[in-house]
Amino acid sequence: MKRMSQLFQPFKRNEPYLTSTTLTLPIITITGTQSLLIENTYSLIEYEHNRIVLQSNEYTIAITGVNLSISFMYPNELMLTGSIEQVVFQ
Amino acid sequence: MKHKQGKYIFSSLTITMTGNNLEKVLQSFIQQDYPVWDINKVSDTVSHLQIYEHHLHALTLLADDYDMEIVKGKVSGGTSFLKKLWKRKEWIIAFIISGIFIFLLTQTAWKVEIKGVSIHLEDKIKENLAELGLYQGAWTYNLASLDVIQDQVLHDMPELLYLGIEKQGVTYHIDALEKKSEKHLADSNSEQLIANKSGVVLKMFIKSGQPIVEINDVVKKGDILVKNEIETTEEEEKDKKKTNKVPVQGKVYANTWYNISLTTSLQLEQNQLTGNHIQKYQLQVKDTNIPLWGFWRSSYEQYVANEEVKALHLWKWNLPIQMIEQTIYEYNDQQVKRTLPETQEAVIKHVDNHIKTTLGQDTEILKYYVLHESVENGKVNMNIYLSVLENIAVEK
Repeated sequence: MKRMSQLFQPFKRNEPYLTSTTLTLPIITITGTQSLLIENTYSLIEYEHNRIVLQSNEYTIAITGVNLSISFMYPNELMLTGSIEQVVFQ
Repeated sequence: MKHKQGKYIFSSLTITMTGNNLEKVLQSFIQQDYPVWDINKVSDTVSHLQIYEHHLHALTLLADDYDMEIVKGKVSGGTSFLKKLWKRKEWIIAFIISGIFIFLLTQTAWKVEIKGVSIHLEDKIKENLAELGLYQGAWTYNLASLDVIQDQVLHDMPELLYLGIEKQGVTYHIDALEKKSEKHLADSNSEQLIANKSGVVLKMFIKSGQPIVEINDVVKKGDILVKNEIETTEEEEKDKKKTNKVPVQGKVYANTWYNISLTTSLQLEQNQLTGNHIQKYQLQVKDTNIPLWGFWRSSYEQYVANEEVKALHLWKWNLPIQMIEQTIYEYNDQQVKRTLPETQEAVIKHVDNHIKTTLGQDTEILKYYVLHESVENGKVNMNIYLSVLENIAVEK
């Protein structure tokens, strides 16, 4: 019995990494100032040469820069390229 | 990332969209699970983007809903190339015809080279090969196998010691060697002819040597028949005799006797071909057989199948494709009941063949006597006494 309970110890001790709340937040990966990858739910609100605005569940993300273009756009993924100057969460 | 990789297989299309509602159109488009990539804003109202060609209809509907204008641009990708090629059917037909033409050319013999023999023999070999279907410009697909051609030419030309045919690409190289006759050299140890069996001498053919025995002499096994010494006398000194050693060559035929016992059946089971046959053709690619012709025909109840495999090749390369030609012959089991005289005749024929095979083709049965004969359970037991004429001379 003691050995059986020890087997399940690691699962009882740690809280799970991914909760339902975490899954709805945007995951943003920025590589230098040249590319930005956003994952999880988002909506494209505004797209200009120097400003892109995205809406996730809780935030509005405004990305400003120069020569911004969208490398690819999938339902849960978007990649921006260009010269990124600012990323603002509103 | 994973969506974009398909653009090399499926056609992708560059589109120019004009209007103010680009974001709404794009958002609605991707919510239908359609990918978009390489989106570039050229001006406030004009953007370039790329989508899969087969998603164009969905984008067109959304553009109409949001008052946007779409202009189709360049198409690229695998299927677009195939579509363009399909429109140029003359290219496809020309490519297929060239492929068939090249394949047909590689199935002909462009050159037949013969080495190792004199010009006279070379011409004779060429004539023989031409009769068998191998000559410059010949269609080689239906040619018999090279081993069969080699054996046939060697059989037709006994003056050849060796013949080798090698195929290199579309050229056939033939190496041949002519037989050279050996001369016997006389020396003090030259051989004699002795009898290997006992018998009565009936015929003698002596090419060289001194015969010791005469016709109708009884000889025993081991007796000297022809010796290698010849006595000569010179004209000037007639008293003196000189012996010269000569090589011995010849045959001595004697009457020998054999006693043979054998058993055979009165009822014979024979398989006889009826003459009916069907042909089937298959294409073999590695281990897979693809039936081409004759596969709808069912085999006979009793049959024997003959299969011929022909490898297809292009110049010097063997293609991994083989043509299998299968011929199925029908046969019947027949039970033949023989009478006693028919069985005896068959036995004598069999004994004659056996004697010729064992003792030589020039052996002859002079007489035979059936000493004992009995029939039991459908089987005939015979005891035969044979009087045979055979060559009993051997070199020693």
